Amino acid sequence: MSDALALIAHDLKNALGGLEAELSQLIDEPTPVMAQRAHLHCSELRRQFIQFLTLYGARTNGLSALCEDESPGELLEALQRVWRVKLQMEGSPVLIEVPDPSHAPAFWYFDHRLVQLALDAAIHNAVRFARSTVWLDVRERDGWLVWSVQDDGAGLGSAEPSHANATGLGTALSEAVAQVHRHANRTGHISLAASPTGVGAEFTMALP
Amino acid sequence: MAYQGSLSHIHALIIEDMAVQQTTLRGQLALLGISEVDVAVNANDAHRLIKSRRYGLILCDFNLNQQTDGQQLFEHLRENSLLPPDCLFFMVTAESGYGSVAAATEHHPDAYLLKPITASDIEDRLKAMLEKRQALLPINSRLAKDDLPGALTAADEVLALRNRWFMPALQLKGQTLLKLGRHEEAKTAYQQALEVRKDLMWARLGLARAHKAAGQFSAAIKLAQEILDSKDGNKMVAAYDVMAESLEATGDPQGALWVLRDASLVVPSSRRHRLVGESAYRNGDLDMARTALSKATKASRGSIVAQPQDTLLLAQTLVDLGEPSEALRVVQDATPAYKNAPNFGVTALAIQAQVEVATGKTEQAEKTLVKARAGLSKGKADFGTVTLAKAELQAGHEEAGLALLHSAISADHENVRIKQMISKTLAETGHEDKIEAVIESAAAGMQSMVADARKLLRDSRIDDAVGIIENAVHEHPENTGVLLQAAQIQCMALRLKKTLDAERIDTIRDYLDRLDKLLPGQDRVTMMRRYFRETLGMLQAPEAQRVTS
Repeated sequence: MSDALALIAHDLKNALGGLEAELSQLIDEPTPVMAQRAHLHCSELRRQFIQFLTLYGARTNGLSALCEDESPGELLEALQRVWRVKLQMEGSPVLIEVPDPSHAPAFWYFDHRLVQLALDAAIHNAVRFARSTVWLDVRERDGWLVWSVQDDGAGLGSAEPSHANATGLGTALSEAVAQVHRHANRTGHISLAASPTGVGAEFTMALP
Repeated sequence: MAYQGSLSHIHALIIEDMAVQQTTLRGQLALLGISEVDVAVNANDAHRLIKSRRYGLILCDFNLNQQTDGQQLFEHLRENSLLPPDCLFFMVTAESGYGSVAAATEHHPDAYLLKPITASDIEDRLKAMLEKRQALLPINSRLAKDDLPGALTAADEVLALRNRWFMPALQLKGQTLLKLGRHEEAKTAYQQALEVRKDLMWARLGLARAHKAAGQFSAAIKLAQEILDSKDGNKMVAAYDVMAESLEATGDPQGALWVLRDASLVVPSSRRHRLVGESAYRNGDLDMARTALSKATKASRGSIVAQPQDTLLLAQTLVDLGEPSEALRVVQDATPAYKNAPNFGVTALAIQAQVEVATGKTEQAEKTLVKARAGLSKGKADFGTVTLAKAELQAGHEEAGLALLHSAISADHENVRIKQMISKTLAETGHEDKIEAVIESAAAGMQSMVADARKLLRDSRIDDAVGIIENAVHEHPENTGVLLQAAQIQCMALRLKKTLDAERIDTIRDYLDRLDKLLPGQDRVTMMRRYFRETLGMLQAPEAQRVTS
């Protein structure tokens, strides 16, 4: 296992410790709110384990993309739906917006499951930094399908927020997913830069 | 917009051997409102259920811990048309490597779900696929009714929308054009798809098939080779098949054999071994036939994909190799499983008789032959007839053996494979000198009958011509050459009489349906269907004019 993966495994172990503590507290004073929170953290951890295993698989056996014609717009819509519910349950004030769904091309060839995993990780990251809103977008630009996840946080270079379970997992995974999308001598890539609006950061993933 | 309707009307089947997973999947379906759920624990179970009930959704585990995995089961169901057109098949897999399994095949399940899966994973894919089904329904419903021109119009209507379903509609359009025998337009459709995505496997294969169908065999072989040389195409067995069929069509059965052998190395399934075994046997490569057929029978033993023909051909190969007792053991081992399979009994008896002749039990062989003859009412162009003929020749019944071979060739005189088998049988039994006589005389008899019918047609004696060819069809109901000629002569009769004779039209439809069964997917049948449609079109046009004027 590489150093990066070991580091991530270490973080996952710590998060599991956090969950264990929550559960023991739950034994002492069982409350629905507490149980709800523990459940949320548990499913969050499970999500991270799936990412970790996908990334581990990518490093050891190589990841392969099974690209079919998919609707980028519908994937974005589904992510927005899932995240809205999740944030509501967590009591987070952050809004998830898709400002202009009409830009999405009718179809594109990509691996639905892998791209969903990568975008989910990017949104997770953006939500941690965002003050009030995360904007999602997908459009065709110069023959590339460009996904973007933008937040209105303090931007790059700012101190890591105190939120727990921060790992480099999401970025490493998105990068691996982008790189297995190849077509006509072009390879997918990601970038993380200051947002063009001047506030916050923007994650983009371009697929050929 | 994704499908918004309720899912509760869907009847689902879970194919999964692990009890825990069964419960999980059942619970997830219940969350989606799907409560009518059956469970199969293995492929045989699933096969039985699918034949008896109509499912809207099948969730199948890829690893069934049996000799048949999920992909084999799926392909078996597809090839035997056991899945209703509106049934969605989702593969559930623990391995992210399933992508490479799927890449090796042309038949993809409607979705693949990687464990651990959640109810919303199933819901998302289910709704997307239901929407797809809805969008393509105008095309598929016409294809199901064999209304090819209607399907083509419907495909063009979907394409004009340039929406989410553009590519699947283009794929259906290509397939429909190929079925219509319109190769050049099919090529254009596939090229259009390749402009969107130049590595699209279905479009590359479609293009190769369109060239093959148009008789451009070297171009078809080149395109198939390019698929196999590409990174994602090296396991695409359908490309090997295009190549093998093209080689066989250009009179190179040996070349076809080597291509099929390569395919079986890439995807060592029982089906691939079967194809190699059959081709190797015809080409006289008995060692290769033995190896391939042993693998085929071993891999499929006790499974739904097992076929009696594998065992019989293996036994015949062993007799030819001079191992009669081994041959007998193979047949006896398989008899309980296949005792009700059609033709198994006669062929098994014929092989048994050959074994008895080879081991000097002449008297016993005679008794066995009596039983075998009783099971075969009329010679057909099949392995059973040739095997019995071989037994007769080996037992010294030259006349009976030659008569059977004659009936086999008359039953389908243009069948290259049967000709190959018959030549081989005659050569092996010391009747090499009769090859030409048996094959040529039967074929010549057929050809002169056809020539007579055509001459009568030219002399405007339409009914006499039709009489001759109908007689030939009656005598040889499975002779593909005769059926093709008969369909053509009947079409010409329609054209000459300039009337839409309903009875004649039904007769032609019957011939074409028989041809579809005897020569599935073959280009000659496609072309005859096209000729029939054009004939109807010609006759309908003036009628329509008369009505409107």
